[in-house]
Amino acid sequence: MIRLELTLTNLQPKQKARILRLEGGFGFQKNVRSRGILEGKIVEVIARQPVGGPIVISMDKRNTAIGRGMASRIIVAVE
Amino acid sequence: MDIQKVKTILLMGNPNVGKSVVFSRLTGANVIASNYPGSTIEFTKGLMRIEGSKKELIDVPGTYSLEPTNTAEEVAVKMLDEGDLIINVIDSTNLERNLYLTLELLQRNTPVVVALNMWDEAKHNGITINPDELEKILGVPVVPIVALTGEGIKTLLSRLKETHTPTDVSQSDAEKWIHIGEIIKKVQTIEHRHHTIWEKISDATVKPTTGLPIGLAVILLTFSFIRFIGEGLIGYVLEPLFDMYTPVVMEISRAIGPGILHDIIIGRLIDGNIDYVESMGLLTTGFFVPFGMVLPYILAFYFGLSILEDTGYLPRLSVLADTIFHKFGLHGCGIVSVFLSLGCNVPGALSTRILETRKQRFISATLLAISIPCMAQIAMIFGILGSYGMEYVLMVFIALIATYVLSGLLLNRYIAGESPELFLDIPPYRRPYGKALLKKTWMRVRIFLTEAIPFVFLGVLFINILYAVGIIDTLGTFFSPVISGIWGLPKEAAAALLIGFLRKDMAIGMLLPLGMNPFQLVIAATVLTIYFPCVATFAVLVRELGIQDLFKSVLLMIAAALIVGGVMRLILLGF
Repeated sequence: MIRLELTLTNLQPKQKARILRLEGGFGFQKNVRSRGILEGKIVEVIARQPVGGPIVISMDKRNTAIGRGMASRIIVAVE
Repeated sequence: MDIQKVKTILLMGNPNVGKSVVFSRLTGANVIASNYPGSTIEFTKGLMRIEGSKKELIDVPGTYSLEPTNTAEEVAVKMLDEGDLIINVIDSTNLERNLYLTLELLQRNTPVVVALNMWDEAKHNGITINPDELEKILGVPVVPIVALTGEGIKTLLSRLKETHTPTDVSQSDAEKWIHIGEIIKKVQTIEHRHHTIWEKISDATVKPTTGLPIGLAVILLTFSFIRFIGEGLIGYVLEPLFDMYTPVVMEISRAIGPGILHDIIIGRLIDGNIDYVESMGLLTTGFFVPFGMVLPYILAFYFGLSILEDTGYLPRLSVLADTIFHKFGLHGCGIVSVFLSLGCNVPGALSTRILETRKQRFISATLLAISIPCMAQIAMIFGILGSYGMEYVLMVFIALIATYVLSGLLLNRYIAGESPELFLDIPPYRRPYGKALLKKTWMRVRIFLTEAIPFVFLGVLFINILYAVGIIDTLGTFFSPVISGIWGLPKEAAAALLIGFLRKDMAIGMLLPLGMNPFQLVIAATVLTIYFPCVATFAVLVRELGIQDLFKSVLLMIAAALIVGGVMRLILLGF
C-alpha cells in the first residue's frame, strides 16, 4: 500500500499529529529541536495564517509559530 | 565555591523565561544599564549584593542554545566568557525545552545554579517537578522561584556558593535529547487540565479571523492611550509649570537686553512676548520643545510599549503581521522594529539585529530610517498640524505608510539575499510586573533625556549662529530648485532641513514661523521624516550596516524624499 507522507503544512486547525521525522540539514534539525520540536512529540495546529503565512502549533501546552517552508520539512502522522 | 571571588554573575536562559523580572528583583534600584534595554539585544548590567560584597549582574539576551542563529544570540555566547557564575533561569512550565541550554551550559567550565522560575504557574497548570531529584541528576543547586512575587529569591542567593565548576561531560546533540527525555521522566509529572480562559484568549489572538480585528483594536487602543496620557500631562502638568516659568524668562530677557546674546538665550520676542515654539532661544524653545511638547508623549509611549512587551502580546502581533512583512523581504518580527522606531529610531535600528540575514537587516533598517517618524517628531507633527484639523495629520501618516509599503516591495525585489521564515515562540500571557515596567520605562525615558536634550540645545545654538552669519539664506537659495521647485515649499525651509540632521522634532517646530499653508506643512513634515535620519540614528546605522550599505541606504532615502515630496506637491498643491 502506498501512503503519502504528511507534513505539518497538511494539517488543519485542531488536528493533532505525531512528529515522525525532520527533513533537512544539520543546522535546520538543530534549530528546530532546540525549540522542543522533537521526533515522537504530539503537536496540535492552532491556526494557519492566510496566504502562505506561518502555522501556529501547540506542543506541551506551548505555542510556536513556524513558517510554511520549515513546516513542510517536518513529517508527521495524524493521531 | 568561594563566593567572595565572584565578580560577575550572568543571568542566562531561553527567551521569555522572566529573566528581566529576576534581574529587577536582584538588582533593586542600582541599575547602571549601559546600553539600550528591552529590545532583546543590548544587555542590562546592575549591581547586586551577596554576603556583603558587591557583584555585577548581567542580564544576557535570551538564547535557545549556544550555537547562535542570529547576532543577538551571538552576543549571549560571547558574554559567557565574562562571567564567574551563571544563574540559569528556567521556565518551569516548559522544563523540557529549557533543559537543552542547561546541559550545554554544564559543558562549559563556569559554575551554574539553576532557578526554576514561574514555579506557581507550573503548579497551576498541573505540572509537578521534583527539584531535589533534578538537583541530584544535574549535580548543581536547583532552586524553585517565583520572580514576580520574590518567592525563593533569598534561597537562590544563599545557595549560589554551593555550586562548583562542572565536571566535563561531553555529550552529542542526540545524547542530550535522550538524556533530557530521561530527566523529564524522572522529575516531572503532568496532570491533565482543561483549557484556561487565558489559553482560549491566547488562541483567539493568533487565529487570523479573530486575531486581526483584535490586533487592530490593540494598536488603536495603545495609541489612544498614549495620546490621552500625553495630552493629560501637557494640559494639567506642563502648561501650568511653563506658565509659572514665563515671568522668570521675561525677567531674564529684560536683564540681557537686545543683542546677539538675547537672540541665543531667549530668542526673538513675538509681539513683545515669548513664543515657546517660535522664539528659538535656549531657555525658551530649547527648553519647551523637549520638556513641554515631547517628553509627555515619550513617557506615555514607553509605558504603553512596555506593557505590550511584558504581557507577551508582541509575538502574537508578529505572527499576524508575518504575511505582510514577508512581502517586504522581512518576517513578522519586523513589526517589533517598527514599534520601537516609533519611540526612537535608534533602538529601532538596533533591534534589526534579531533578523537573521543581511538582506533583512538592510531592508528593515532602511525602511525605518525612511518612513518611521519617532515619537518626538510625531508629537511635534500633532502639535503644529493638529490645530488645522486631524485630516492633515492623517495625510502625513498615509503618505509615510504608503512610502513604507512601496519601498518595502521594491527593496524585496531588488536586494539580493535570503529572507528566512518566521520561527517564533509564543509565550503565554503574563501579568506584567509593576516594578519591571517602571524600570524599563524610566531607562528608556532617561536615554531620551540624556541624549536628546543636548542635541536640542546644540540645534538652537547652531541655528542662531547660522542665521547670524547668513548661511541659511545662501543654502536656501542654493537648494531652492528642490525645496521650492519640486516640493513647493518656501526656500527658508532649508533651515529646518538642516536642523533635521540634529533633531527632527526641533526641525518640525521651525516650520511654523515660515507662514506655510497646511498642505505645505503636510509636505514639509513628510519630507523631513524621509530625507535623512537624525544624526543619532545615522551613527547607529553606520555601525549596523557598514559604510557601503549605508551609502546605498542614503541614496534610497534621498530618492524617496524627492519622489514622495514631488508626488504630494502635485496632489496637494498642483503645479
